[in-house]
Amino acid sequence: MGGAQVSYSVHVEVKEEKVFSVYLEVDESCRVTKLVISGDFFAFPPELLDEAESRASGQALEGVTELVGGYLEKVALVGVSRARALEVLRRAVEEGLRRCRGG
Amino acid sequence: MLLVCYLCRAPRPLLTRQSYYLGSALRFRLVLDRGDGYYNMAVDEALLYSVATGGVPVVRLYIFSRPTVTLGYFQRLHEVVDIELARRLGIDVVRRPTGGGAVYHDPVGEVTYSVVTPERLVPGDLVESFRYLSCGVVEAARALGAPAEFVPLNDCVVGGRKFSGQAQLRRFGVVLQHGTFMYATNLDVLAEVLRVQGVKLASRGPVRSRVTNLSEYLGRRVTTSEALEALAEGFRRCLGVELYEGTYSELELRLASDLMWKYRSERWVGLR
Repeated sequence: MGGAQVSYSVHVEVKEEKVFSVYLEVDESCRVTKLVISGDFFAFPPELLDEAESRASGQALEGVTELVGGYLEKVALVGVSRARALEVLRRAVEEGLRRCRGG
Repeated sequence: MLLVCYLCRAPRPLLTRQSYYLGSALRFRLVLDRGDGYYNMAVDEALLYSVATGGVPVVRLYIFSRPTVTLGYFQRLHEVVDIELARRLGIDVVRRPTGGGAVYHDPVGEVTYSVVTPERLVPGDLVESFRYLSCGVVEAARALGAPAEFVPLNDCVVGGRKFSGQAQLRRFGVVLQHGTFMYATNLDVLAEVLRVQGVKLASRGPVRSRVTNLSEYLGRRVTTSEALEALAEGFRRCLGVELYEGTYSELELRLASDLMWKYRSERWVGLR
């Protein structure tokens, strides 16, 4: 048994008051095998971001910005603005897609 | 000496039916405690659930019995802790239920506090609630002679250097805020074992230049007893509550015991 082969990973981070980063692992078919939202920011309730990470796993990369972005819209973030958090997510996914397409 | 909290807001209107009111006075338990990091985090989480189900709010002052790094809920272990060095130095690594950054808890140089209270008793604005619930730290440092101040988002500083950081979790209408009070923390160990992420290092510089402890600032050794007494008095004045020396309920201890497995588990520590 084993999961899909990780083809590459992408890590994008910013610092406003706090660090916010998105780490993505993607397989050869451009599906997310792992998404981690990390940093020293605060999120209320934190479980929403756990759910976002969990739901992103196995999804096609194209849909991840909308999927995870939906959770970032719902959670109260402290230490990083929602706009910057969404921007980090978007940049990570775009970088993932670029590499996926062989860019 | 009369200590006045300039930073604190008055508590919000109170519900009289709660058991933690005696007449018009708001009563919080003060619990002094000592244990390892797994126990300490489990007790804090258990208290949150207890207060959510009607338990008396708590100011808890505790000491880590072993040197410990606690990392924030969203932090990636390998990015913020030198795991190999921690292992060599016998430093435990525990993930907190709260967000924020990694903290080094020195058994002979740091007291941690937690305040567990219904959300309606603290300012609704999250940043203001950090300020409000950390005012005991500011008061305590001032009482010891250090002109401390709260600096948003969640730091308390003296002489421009951080000696205390706060973290918060909210669930079921209850706030758990815990934070550090570094009175004699070994800052060299702290700076070695905590890693600073690249973007943070670039904007704020190395850890050692940004932190201090009250003994270093005051030029005299602050003792554990002094720190504990100053914190208890600081929180009593700042929160405007009657603090009585209390204990944990059997239910709280049982819940904490049940939660300890989580904090000890590699899956939790390595969650991210």
